[in-house]
Amino acid sequence: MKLSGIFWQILLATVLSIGGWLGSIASARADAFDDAARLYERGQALEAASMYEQIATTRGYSYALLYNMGNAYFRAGSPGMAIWAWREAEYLNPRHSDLQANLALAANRGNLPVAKGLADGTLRRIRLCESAWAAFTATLVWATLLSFGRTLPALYHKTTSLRWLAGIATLCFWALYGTKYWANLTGPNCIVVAHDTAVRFGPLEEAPVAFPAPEGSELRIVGSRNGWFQVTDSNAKPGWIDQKHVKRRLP
Amino acid sequence: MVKTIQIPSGRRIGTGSLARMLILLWCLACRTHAANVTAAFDRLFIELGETVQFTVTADNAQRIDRIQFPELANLAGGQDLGTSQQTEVINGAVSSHISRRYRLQPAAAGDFTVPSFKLVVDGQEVTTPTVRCRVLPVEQHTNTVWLKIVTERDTYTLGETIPLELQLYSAYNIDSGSPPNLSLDGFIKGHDEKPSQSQTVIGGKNHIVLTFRMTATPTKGGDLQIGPASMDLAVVVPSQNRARGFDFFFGGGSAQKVTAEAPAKTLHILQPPMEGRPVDYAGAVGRFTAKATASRTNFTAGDAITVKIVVSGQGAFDTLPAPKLEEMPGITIYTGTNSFVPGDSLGMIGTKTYEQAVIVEDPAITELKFEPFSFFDPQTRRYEKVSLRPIKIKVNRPAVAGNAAGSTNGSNTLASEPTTAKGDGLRPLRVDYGDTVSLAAGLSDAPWFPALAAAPLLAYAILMYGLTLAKRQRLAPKTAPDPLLSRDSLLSKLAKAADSGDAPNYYNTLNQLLQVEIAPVAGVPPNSVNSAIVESKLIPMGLPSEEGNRLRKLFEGVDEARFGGIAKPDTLRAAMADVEPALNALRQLQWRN
Repeated sequence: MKLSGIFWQILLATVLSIGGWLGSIASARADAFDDAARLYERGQALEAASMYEQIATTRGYSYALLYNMGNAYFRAGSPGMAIWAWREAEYLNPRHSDLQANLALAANRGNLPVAKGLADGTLRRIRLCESAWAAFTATLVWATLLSFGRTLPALYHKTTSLRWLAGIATLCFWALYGTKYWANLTGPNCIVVAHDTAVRFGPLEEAPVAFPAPEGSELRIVGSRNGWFQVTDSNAKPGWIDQKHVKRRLP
Repeated sequence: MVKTIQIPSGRRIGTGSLARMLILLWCLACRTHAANVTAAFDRLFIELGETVQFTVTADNAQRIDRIQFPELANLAGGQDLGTSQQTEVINGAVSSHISRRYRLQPAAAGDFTVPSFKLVVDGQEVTTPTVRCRVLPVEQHTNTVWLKIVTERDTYTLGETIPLELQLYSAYNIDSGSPPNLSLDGFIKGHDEKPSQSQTVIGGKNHIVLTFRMTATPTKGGDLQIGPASMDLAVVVPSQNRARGFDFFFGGGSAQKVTAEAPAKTLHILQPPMEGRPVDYAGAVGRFTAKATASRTNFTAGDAITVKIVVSGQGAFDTLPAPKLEEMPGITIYTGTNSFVPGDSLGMIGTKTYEQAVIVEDPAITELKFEPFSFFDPQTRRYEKVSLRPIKIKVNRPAVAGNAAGSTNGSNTLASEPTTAKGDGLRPLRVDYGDTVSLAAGLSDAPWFPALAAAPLLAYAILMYGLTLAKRQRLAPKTAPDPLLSRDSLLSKLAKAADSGDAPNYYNTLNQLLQVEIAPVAGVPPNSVNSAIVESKLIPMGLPSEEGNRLRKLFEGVDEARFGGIAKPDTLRAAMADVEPALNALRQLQWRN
């Protein structure tokens, strides 16, 4: 009985300690987050961006952190870094209207190509995981309804319409998933973060310019050599860019 | 076969050609465009004593009704060469040109001008432009083929684009020739034209003149030499025993290689004067005007507009500095583009257009100002400054968030929250940190996830296959199949019994065959197979009624043999005909199920 009482006391102390520790972490994170916002509103955008980076390093990313980081970088005059942060935020929450507005604004200011059409516009509003799980679920439902033909023949005949519906939905979701998967596989995966840089015909400073790469433009990395990335633009035009001038999207 | 029509002139034309001519005439009759009249000399520089051809051309015209050729003061002689007409059909578009040509011989060195005059074309009075050619002092030429370098003046300004001509004269027909070699030390060669050929009369003799026209720009001051120049060619020297005029027009004679040479020509290149030189002068020489416009003058702060500056004129456009917008707080100017449209074949005159994207973020800005630029006019020998007129603009404040997602004029510019609005149009910050998430590739990003998503269908396929296997195993005989009870052996036995007329053996074998074949299809033990199974099992499973009847007939035969009498051999052979189709129908039924 006495031993049991000690056990419960130790358990209670442990739970309280862990709870307190977790609470202090959350509080510190919230304080730093608010401090960064304060700096931003005071006009110290670069300091705010730096603080957001620090929070990300120590506490991890969140949608709000990435979104605010993008705003801070944009106001600090680094549209490339801003677009990088917003694109990462878009990966987490692609349908947030404020985020899309900021991205369109940055594209407009930088004279960058604005995402248009099904592949770049509508598909950007859907997460890959959403389309994947939709395809998975629809397939599961359809396969279950099909299996009724052997396991529950009476129910099989009653669910004909539902079976057709599930079949069509499965095909549609798979088409969406395939398109999104292909877009992710072939779409841009890095962003130019340097002013006045260019994509060159070779991995050398002396190589002639293939095409200009305005800050914030998005490229796809297809290879690397000696500190240079081999990249392609949205028209699949190839070239090389210094690794220091771009920031890779997180996987 | 093409029908032909004889026409009075004796020429024969096809009906297709006639139709095309009618269509052409109809097209020409329907034309309503006003005639465009041009006038030109065939050469810009001639020597005194030479003739020059003057041509008046009316485009999109049918006839020249009346022409009032002006009285020319310094004209030594002239000849009307008549009117010629040309009709072209290019990509279905019909165009016609009518030309009146004159051969003129100036009486004095200097500028020879044909002033503007009136003519009536298709009933409409039109006026020609004034044209001019330069008559140079006469030079002595002892050869029958010679080359000379011609410039308009002897004095130019550093940086000025100099038009020059290389003229090849030949008293004989030219058979072939290589491009001329021209030394241009101290100059940068500019544009050049394809050589043009014309004819002139010198001392009563016809001469062919090949003109090579080009531009060059001096790179330093002082006396610079253009040339010498040389050109290798082959001329056709007429034979002695034929009339020279005959050879000139119809060829003949022997080819002879000739090298024509032109001595160097010295040009005085003057430096632009230091006196009065503007501080922003960057070396442009010529005569230019400029005009600026904006794509929109009433827009929302933060919207991108395009400012276009068009510089027109004559001179060295390459050295012309790009006109600049005046930088000021609240205006962001982006690197622009430029394009040049030449107004003549040498690019001496033309229009250069500069385009820049500009974002005005401060609504207090009311005009876009430009930095002036300077050039040196070689004709007036003075520096000129071009000050572009400022563009008046009205910059509207962005709408507050919630009222609109974009500006009123439909641009991409977005509204901003008043709390964060500092002219940058950004949406407000997020207040809550939210959940920490991983940006690493998720489950659905994995390359194997499509296989996982397809797993239910795979599971369904496996389930179906398993059920089919289970059914087969359930229906399969517990012991190994007796080879004597296989379909082929039973059919063979049946055929032998039918041939030998062994009715008991025949019906016994048939009964065995039906039991062995029907049992796995109907899912019943072989010894329970009888004629009733056709109705109870096989027909509901989808056996066609015709095949059902065939099976029933076979069962009836078996029953009759078992309970009735003995069949004749003919009956057995006839019954054999039904066995194979019935068994095939059973196999198909088994496949379908």
